[in-house]
Amino acid sequence: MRTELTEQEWADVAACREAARAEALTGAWTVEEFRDAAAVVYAAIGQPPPLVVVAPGPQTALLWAALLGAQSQGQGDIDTPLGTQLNSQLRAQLSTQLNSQLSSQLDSQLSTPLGERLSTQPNEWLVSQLYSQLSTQLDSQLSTPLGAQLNSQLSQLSTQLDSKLAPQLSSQLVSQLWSQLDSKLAPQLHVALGTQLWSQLNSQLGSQIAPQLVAQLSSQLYSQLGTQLSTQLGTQLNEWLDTQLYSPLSLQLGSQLNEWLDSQLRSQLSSQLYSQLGTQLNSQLRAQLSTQLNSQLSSQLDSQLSTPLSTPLSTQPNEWLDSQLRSQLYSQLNEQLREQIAPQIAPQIDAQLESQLESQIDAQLSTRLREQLNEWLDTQLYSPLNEWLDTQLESRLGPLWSQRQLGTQLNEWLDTQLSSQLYSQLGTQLSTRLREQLGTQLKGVHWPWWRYAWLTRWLFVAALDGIDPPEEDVLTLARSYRAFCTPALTIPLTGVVVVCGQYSSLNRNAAGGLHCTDGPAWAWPDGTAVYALEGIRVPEWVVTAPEAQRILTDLDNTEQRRVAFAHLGWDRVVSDLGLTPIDTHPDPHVGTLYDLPKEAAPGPARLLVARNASPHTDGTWQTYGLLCSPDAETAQQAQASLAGLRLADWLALDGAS
Amino acid sequence: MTMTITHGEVAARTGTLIPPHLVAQAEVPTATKGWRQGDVYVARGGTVPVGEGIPITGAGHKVVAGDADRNSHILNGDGVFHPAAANALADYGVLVVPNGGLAVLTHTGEHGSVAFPEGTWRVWGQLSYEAELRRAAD
Repeated sequence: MRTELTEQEWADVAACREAARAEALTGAWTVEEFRDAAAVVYAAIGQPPPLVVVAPGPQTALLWAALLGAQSQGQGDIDTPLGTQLNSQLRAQLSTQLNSQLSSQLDSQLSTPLGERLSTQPNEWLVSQLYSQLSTQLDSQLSTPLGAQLNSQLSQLSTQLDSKLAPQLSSQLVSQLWSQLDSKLAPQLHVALGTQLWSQLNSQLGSQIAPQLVAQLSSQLYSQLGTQLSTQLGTQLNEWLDTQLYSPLSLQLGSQLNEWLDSQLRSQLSSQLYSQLGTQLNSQLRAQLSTQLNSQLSSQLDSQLSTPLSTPLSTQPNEWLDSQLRSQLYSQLNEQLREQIAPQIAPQIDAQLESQLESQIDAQLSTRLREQLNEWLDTQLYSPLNEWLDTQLESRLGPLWSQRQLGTQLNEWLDTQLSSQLYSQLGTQLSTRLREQLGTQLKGVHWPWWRYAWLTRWLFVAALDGIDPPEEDVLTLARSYRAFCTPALTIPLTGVVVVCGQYSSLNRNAAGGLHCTDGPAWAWPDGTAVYALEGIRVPEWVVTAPEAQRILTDLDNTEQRRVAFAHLGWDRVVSDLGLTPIDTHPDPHVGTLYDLPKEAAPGPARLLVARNASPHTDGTWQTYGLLCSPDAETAQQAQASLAGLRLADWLALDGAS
Repeated sequence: MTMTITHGEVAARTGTLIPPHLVAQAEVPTATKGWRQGDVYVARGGTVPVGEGIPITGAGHKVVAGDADRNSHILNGDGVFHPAAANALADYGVLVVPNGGLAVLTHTGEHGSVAFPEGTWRVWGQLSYEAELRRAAD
């Protein structure tokens, strides 16, 4: 039985701690390693290997997890309020990141396992979920905007027809009619017609020709336009579905899903969308074109045909005019309408469809994934595993561990110090930073560095000479669990783990605390940033644009105020605030009392600048600016007021540390 | 006989680190009337509240959890702690150390531990004079 360690082993302890810290802080883990570790960890509680999604930062990780786990009510994961909050706060961020970043990750990381999962899912799910959502969304989202868009298009078309076609039609009709009438009808008309036809002609043209022509023209135009538009939209929709829906989905969800979607969805979805859009557009176009063309052509024909035809025409030319005009007008109108409508409607409909269906993809992807994440939880993962590992390892290593001194030392060196360095100095600041922004509901988020340190200790002990190591499967699980706990933030969900990727910058002081005087101390590519001075997290403005007045009024935390003032410089604080010392005690720990101008203080108070009672862990002495009673006349009275004591009682204290 | 305890022993039972400026084998100072540890004050006095209180044995009871990411104050050793009402301005509560016992207030940062012998001790926090008088945060 080992009861002590050799010098070399103690050196190894230090080396192990530093290596572990470096490993965690540098984020040297790979996705493959993490995925393998996650598979082992999940398998330990009887779960299949989870999908691993690497987020570009903590905020994004929380957002993705909220989307994935928002439906997991009461299961310890990210709960619905957080999901709602994240959705509202970071929706814009998500749309960009899901499209650009998650897609590539899904492609490389999720394709196989997700494809396998999805391939085993019953067709009813997609039928009931995807189709009903698509149909509902298409119905509610596409019909209204498309209707409005078509109205706009038809209004433009009407204007264009009015301005372009009317003169052209007028001149052509007049020219042709005059020419034909002159050559064919002139002889008969000259003989047969007289002044008595004036009234008949006017009445017949008004009541017979115009409505007939309009009805025939409208019918033919509607048919052609409907066919053209539906074909055009169908082509666009098909292309869109290929580029926006099928391709990304197939890339993201893998070849299996792609094949499955191909066989199961493409034909049905295309058919359904074609049918819906075709029907909608046809009916809308018909109704709107009918009204507008009827009105326009009626007025044109009424005004243009009555005058030139009134003189020569009799009751005979109805059929002839009908056949002649119809073919010519149809041809001209069709051509012009086709040229005018296509370039105008196409881009708008394209953009509209893209926007609408892009949001559908997001919603469907997250909904689809959420559907799979309803069974088990963070608590189910960690609690049983922790308990089991504790039992297993303690039973194997108990004799060594029971040696109090050795165990305590190892615990301090490897567990306490390592976890303190990792979690207390870094992890807690990140979690607090996120809580500030995202509220207090970070339930389900896993801050793994505590467990990382704990497992580092156990694994070191297990490898000591003379120690009978646990069985290999226990060690494998412990190593895997440790690897699983290496990233700064992991969020285990049912079937998927959202893990925070590598930070973009990390700046610390000599003591290991977060510290940066000209930017974020800890930052990620997604924009998550932690500003900190001397290990104390502060608002961004404290680092980038500190102001003495604002430090006093906005910071209600003495530690924050201290580092903020120190960052600004006490000389500048006293200068900027125009402070005049009232009393300076010879002991700097008691401090110097300053009067504060009213506008500089958040309330009636004076400022006591005093040195901390104990040196900081790095050996330096911290100086604080404390708001004391406005009645204090000396630094000692100020100290007593901070304690809420009379001066005599404060002086009676045994000491301070 | 006056009980004593070393910084190393306190660190071992609470899992805290010994501040570098202190020696592990050195005895923790013992207060007779009162002490200030950072922004936490402990002084004799106070009325023993009704109830059993929170035992501070083992790793102890965190009487103050610093919300600036560190600076927690942990009562450990013998006795019980009676937390004050949640709306108390600066009072954290009352420490009751049994006859012959020794309680220790330990800090997770730079402040050294201090011991309190048998008796009743009031524990409270530093004030900050702002728009409203309130407890200083750290």
